[in-house]
Amino acid sequence: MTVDGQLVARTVAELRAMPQAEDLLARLGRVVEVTRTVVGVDGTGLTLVHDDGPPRWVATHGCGDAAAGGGPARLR
Amino acid sequence: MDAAMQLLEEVQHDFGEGPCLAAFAEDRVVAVQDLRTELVWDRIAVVVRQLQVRGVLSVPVRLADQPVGTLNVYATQPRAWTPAEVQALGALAVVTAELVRTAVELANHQLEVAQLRQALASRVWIEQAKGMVAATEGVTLDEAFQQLRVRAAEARAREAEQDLQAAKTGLARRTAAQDRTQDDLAARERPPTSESSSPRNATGPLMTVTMSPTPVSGPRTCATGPPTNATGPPTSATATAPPTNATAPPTSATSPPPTPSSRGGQREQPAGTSSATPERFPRRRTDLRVTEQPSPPNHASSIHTMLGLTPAVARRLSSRPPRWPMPSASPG
Repeated sequence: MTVDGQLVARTVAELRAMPQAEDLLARLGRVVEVTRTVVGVDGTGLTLVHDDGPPRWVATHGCGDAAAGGGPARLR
Repeated sequence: MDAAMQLLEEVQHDFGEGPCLAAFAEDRVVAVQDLRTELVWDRIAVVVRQLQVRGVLSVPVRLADQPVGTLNVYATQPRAWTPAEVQALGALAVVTAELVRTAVELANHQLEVAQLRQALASRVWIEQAKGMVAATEGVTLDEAFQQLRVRAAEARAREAEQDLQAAKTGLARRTAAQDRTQDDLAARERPPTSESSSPRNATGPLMTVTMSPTPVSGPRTCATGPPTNATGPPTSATATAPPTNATAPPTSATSPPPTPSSRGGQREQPAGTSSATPERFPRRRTDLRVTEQPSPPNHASSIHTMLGLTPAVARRLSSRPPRWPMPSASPG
């Protein structure tokens, strides 16, 4: 699948224009969500470092064929 | 797919390896065409084989030139990642980092505003206190402020000292309780010795002979002890020993009552009980213990004599600093 450069640029601009008052977790979830569409993949995920060591997942977005699990930024 | 991705990321975290952790640790893009054929991460291979995830592309999220996370994309089929896809994911990772940085800066600003508000509120009280101190002490406002600072520092130091003291007391109590518990357990689990069933012990109970550290006018109390005890001066030692022979009469009957000083130094000797009271659990014959009672230096040689130490060893021991506080010498 080829990546649409204009779509990438437009998406990045929209993400940067998100209101800052919005919750950080919600905005990160939005990034994960649009990444799946822009890159054209089956699922996306974001990990960030925590206080107790290495990065752990904070948000995922997939095609929804599995309903189990959960997390701090479950988007479905 | 959500559960599979989440599981994959958690497995990487738990086992400490995987494409996402490699991208974070090595601060580089990690592109995996087929995770099942990738033999780099052995520990997560078992889990990966059961997942639907095959292709993985992981890009680090960098903040202040340091990786703070990864943005990952997954494919259910093997996939050769193109440079355009890597570039697009990198652009989105940059946006992610910007969002995180903005949120951190916003939180810092909010914290700073809250601190400034608190400082403004407390400043009113400080100014009032300065005025009161200046009026009552007859000093300038600057001197009054310095006095307030000194008092505040002293109060904080006092509180810290009290907290430290409380912690030390609690620790000492807990240690003492643990020691008592261990002693009780050891006493309960100690099997009866073979000596306790011997005819010698059957004729008389085991005795605790206490020797006073101060000269006493009564008869010597260590008549049943080793021969060296009979010739040595009274010492501050508590000896637990069975009678040396079956025919010897209990010597505790001739023992004088312990002096207050000797009573204070005894261990495990309930107040008001006779020193000749049979112990609940018989001790070994060689159980000889020196109490922690402060002993005057002139009695040290008698202890060494009783323990059968050579003069050289006794001198070496006497030259060591005492392990317990020595009482100040009283005149006369």
